[in-house]
Parts: sequence; C-alpha cells; structure tokens
Amino acid sequence: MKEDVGRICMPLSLSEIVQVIFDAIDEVNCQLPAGQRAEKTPDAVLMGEGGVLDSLALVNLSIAVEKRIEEKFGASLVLLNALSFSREENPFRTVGYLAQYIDGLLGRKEHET
Amino acid sequence: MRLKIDEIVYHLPRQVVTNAELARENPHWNMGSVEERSGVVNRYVAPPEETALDLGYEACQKLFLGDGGLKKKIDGIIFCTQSGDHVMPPNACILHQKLGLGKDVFAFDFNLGCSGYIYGLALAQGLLLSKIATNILLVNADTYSKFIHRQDRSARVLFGDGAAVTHVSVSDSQQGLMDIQCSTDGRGYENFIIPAGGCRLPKSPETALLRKDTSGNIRTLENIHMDGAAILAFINTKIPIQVQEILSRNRLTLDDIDLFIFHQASQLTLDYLTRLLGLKTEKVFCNLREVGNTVSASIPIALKDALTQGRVRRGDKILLCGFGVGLSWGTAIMEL
Repeated sequence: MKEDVGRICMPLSLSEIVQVIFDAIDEVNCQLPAGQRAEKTPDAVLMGEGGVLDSLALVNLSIAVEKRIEEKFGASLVLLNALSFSREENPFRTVGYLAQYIDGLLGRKEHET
Repeated sequence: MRLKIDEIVYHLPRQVVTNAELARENPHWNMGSVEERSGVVNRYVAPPEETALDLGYEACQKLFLGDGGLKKKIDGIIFCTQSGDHVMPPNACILHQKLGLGKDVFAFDFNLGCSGYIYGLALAQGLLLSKIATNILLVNADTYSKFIHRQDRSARVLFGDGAAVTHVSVSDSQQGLMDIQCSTDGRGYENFIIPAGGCRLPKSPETALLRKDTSGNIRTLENIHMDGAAILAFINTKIPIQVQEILSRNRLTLDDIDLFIFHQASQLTLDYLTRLLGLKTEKVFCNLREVGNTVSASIPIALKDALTQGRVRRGDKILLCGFGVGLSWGTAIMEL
C-alpha cells in the first residue's frame, strides 16, 4: 500500500504549516455561517468539546490542507485515517495539534526519501 | 467449483433529481463544490409509494424477460436491503410471492449497506458450493432517500435509490469467484446510523425534532446520520490493506487486475483509494455522475455498466470492494 505518495521539495517549518492551515480555514469558513467559523490562532479549538467544526467541515478542512501542501510543497498526505482518529491527542483538536501532526507526517516522509 | 455471475440487471426509479434542481431548491448550497467532491450529477429517487421491494421486483422481471427459462431454475433468493417494506416478513418472501416462485425456493433478507454485494456473493457461494442451491437471485435494493432529510446536503446529494439483481450459479471452470474476504469493525457502528425507529429508540415526537449541525444540515434522529470524517478515515485505512491482502494471498498484484470496481461512495472516496493504492485512474470504474451512490446496489450496477461499455469482458480479472454501515467491508476477486 502506498501510505502516501509524492515528493518533498523542501523542508517545512512549523510556522509554514500553521499558515497553510490558516489558509485552509479561510476556505472552509466561507462555507460556514457567521458565528460558527474557526479562528485562525494556534490554540483555536477545531473539534471536540468547544470545537466549531462538524464532520463535514472537518473533511473539507483536511482536503483543503492536503491540497495546499501538495501544491506548495509537493508532498502528498492523507490526513484522515484510523491512526489520526485513534491518537490519544486528537490531531484535529486545535490548529496547533494539527500542525504538529502534519509536521510529524512530513518528517516521516522526509526520512523515507 | 466456483460461484459465477451469469447476468446482472438493474432498475432505477423514474424520477431523476439533478444538481440543477437541488440548486434551485437550495440556493445557499454550494453545488460546484458538492459536484466536485461527490462526483454525482444525477440521482434517482423513488416516489413515496415505490419501495426497494418494488425496484427489486422490476429488476427481476426484466431479468426473466431476457431469459424465459430462468425462472424455473431459480432455487433461492437472497435480498440485501435496509429499506424493507415491513419489519417482518422479509422482502425476499414477498418477492417470492410476487414472482410466483415454487415452495422449494428459499428466500431470506440480510441487513447490510454498502458492503452488501460482497457479503451477498459470499453467502451465495456458500449455498452453491454446499449444493443447497444451484441458481440464486441476489437482490440488492435500497431507497435511502426515504431516510434522508431534504435539507441534509451532506447525504442528499450523494445517495440515489436503485435495485440490482444478480443471477449466480456454479462454474466448473476457472471462471468465477476466486476469493472473497468479509470484515467488520463494530466499534464504529455509530458513525453511520439511523438512531431512531428501531426497538432501541422507537420513533416519538422527540425523535422527530429537527436538529441543525454546524454546516447547516438539518436532520432528525429518524434520518441517516453519517460521520463523514470518521467514515473516510475508516475507508482510507481498511480498504487498501484488505485489497493488498486478498491479492497477496492469491499471488496476484494490482497489475493483474483488469478493472477495480469499488463501492461508488463518492468521487472523493474513489480518489483517495486510487491514490493510496497507486492505481491508474483508467482502471478504476466510476458511474457516480449518472446514478449516485446506490448503497449495496452500487457495485452490481457499476459492473453491469462496465460490461455494457466494454470496459471489461468475459475472462478479465476484476476486483470488487464494498464498505460502509457496520462498519463492514469486503473484497472479492473474480474472473468474469
């Protein structure tokens, strides 16, 4: 199985990953009613208790992030998988957690290349 | 000896609901995004008086019209549905009566969603190889539209109603079912559920209350609830593993398969599976655009369309894979 495909063009800093997530949040927020939009801060709670995203919005955010990372940095990731759902700290809980999760995935890919 | 597919016939309701119609009815829905993610443009919807049983009956009648001698050979009906006419008796028994079949023809239902075609083939294979039956009608029919709230964009755009009947019998050659794997993870059952209407939570004024989610989808506890993120995570994880395992134990590779027919869940799902398995897109069949996600009928409808379009022919090796409610999933490889 190809767990992930693609190539790494350059290493990504955590702040660049956070910016990718912010851009993706902008896209997802356009589809959400005012008052139910995700904030663009590292501590913003995305899902779970106090979170603003439902399941559909989470799918949309994941796709938006994957698309941007592929376009900008040439890395192909799949964020939604059983591992991400079974982790003790839900990687979709906050923007910061999600950035660290992506950083971990990219780090692993970098070692593979 | 192997199970072989002799014929597939399907029947869809008369009414087509297009994306343009949904956009007119719901101007606030972003249908461009919906079409891109779902891959669906048209879906067929049964009117209130038409049920999955009716659709299945029409499919069987068309099958018999095409083969005048077949009806007398049938000795079993397996009906996969979650849209039964009644809590009891099973749809299969009513279909038995409507088709005028003899008393030695067994008939039973089983309740599964989008993995139902693979499970149905597994059941039929057991009955055929144990010589309990020689010619079986495997009927897959559902009308999910009756369980979806009109203002639930997440489900309404995806699902269509439909029925397929597959005539299966025994092959004494290489043709037919080579291997099959059926799997379940009941821990995820709540991720795809109609919470109310069964014995656990009977329908009541409370279960009929409208609830709105963050994305603006409206549903009651009597409607389909699908946690799209959890279901996608399940598919992305389980399906590539099962596909690789069944190929490996049969000493086959992805290249040995002429066509992959996955359950037509959504374009997004097919794209993920294509990417995760590293498949060529031309080897992954898709008819979502015209019929949508027809639950357990989606694989036989897709296989029939693939045969009609010449995408596969007798002698080809195909891989069929269904996944959904349960959560359950199954994969079959066969030589047509």
